[in-house]
Amino acid sequence: MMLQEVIDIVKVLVFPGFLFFSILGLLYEWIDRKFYARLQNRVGPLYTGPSGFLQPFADFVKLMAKEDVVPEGAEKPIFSAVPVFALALSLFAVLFLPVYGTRGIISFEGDIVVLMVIMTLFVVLIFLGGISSASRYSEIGSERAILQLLGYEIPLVASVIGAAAVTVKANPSLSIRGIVEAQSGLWSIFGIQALGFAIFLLAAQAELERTPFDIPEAETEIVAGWMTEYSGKKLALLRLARDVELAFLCGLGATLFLGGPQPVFPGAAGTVISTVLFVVKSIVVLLILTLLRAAMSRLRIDQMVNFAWKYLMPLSILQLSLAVLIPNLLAF
Amino acid sequence: MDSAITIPIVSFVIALIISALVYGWGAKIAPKSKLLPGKAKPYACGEEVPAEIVPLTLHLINFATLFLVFDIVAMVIAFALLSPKLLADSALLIAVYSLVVLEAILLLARRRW
Repeated sequence: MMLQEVIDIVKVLVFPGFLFFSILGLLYEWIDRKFYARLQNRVGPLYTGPSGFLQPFADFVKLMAKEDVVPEGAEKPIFSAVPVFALALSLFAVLFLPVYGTRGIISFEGDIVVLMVIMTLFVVLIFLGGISSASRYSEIGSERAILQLLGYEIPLVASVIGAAAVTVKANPSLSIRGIVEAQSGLWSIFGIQALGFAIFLLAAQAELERTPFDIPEAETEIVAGWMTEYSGKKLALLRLARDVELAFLCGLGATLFLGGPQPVFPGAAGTVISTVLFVVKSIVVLLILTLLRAAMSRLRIDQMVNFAWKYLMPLSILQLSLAVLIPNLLAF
Repeated sequence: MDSAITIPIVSFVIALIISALVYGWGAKIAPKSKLLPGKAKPYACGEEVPAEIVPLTLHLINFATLFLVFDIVAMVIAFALLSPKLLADSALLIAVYSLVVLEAILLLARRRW
């Protein structure tokens, strides 16, 4: 009993919990920046560590050691609490991902709904952070974040529920475990869920506020959007939270549509193989997201909301209907 | 049986404590803030813009509330499509989700920013 508790503590704090995903987040930021730079015929991070590998970590430490200024007029408690809560939320979310087995550290029936809540809360935090800064740029950024959320939230939910529809045939479930187990034969992406995967990628891009949906922090228009007034350790925490969220969403995409860590093998060697598979699959998702970022330019907020409600929403409802209907029709 | 640390709320509190520790570490290694005139002014590209929290437009709140209703309905329909039993099992979660988001919107609507 005691040993089990120690193992669980190590799982939560080290692997596959907080430390693992923090490192993975920084690694993904490096991969993202490097790949993005190569696509633009630049070299990207170069000097810190081999091929600039340690640059995201160096940026984090540098920001931590910088002076932290709270602007006048800001609501200090909310302004200061937002980065702490943002990092805590991202770290909490990764505990649901199955890294080497079919279940995450936290797993129960309906956990996918909790993940939806966490993703929504992240945007609420962004809103609070921006609005409490008492700056025009921040306020515009946070209002845009909320508007954008109104656009992509329902397609995101529909794509995730569509992914859960693969469990209908055998054992209906709304848990990540059920979804991963249902993909032991064929991955969800090979079928109608290919559309769901595309919708998920677009919604994830919007959730992460990356081009073409980087409207809330559009640097050429509103400085850094809702993050304009953040500096020092607060900015460091926000950036780390963003990196962990990036790793989380890539992992979630890999879990829901690419079979997660499947095939799962028993034993220590199996753990290593599954972990490597999980990381490789989530890097594939990351590379697609980076490609999208490099290939497109920023939309205006009205274009984004229009696109989301006129095209993304009907498509997501279509894929959800097909995902639910097709297994039922095949059963007849 | 799972350990206490894998109970969601316990894990979240631990994540919060760790974030607070990282924040505290930053406070330790960063230089003390020396406030000079102008440094704490909101960023405004050199223009004189007073620091003030502008009230939210009610229009956005109405829109958000409508969206919330739509979102919840979409989720309920989706769950019901998947399995009626599942709908019964997840009713509590959906209720909690609705309450959290509704509370957030009410807070935003009530607050005089």
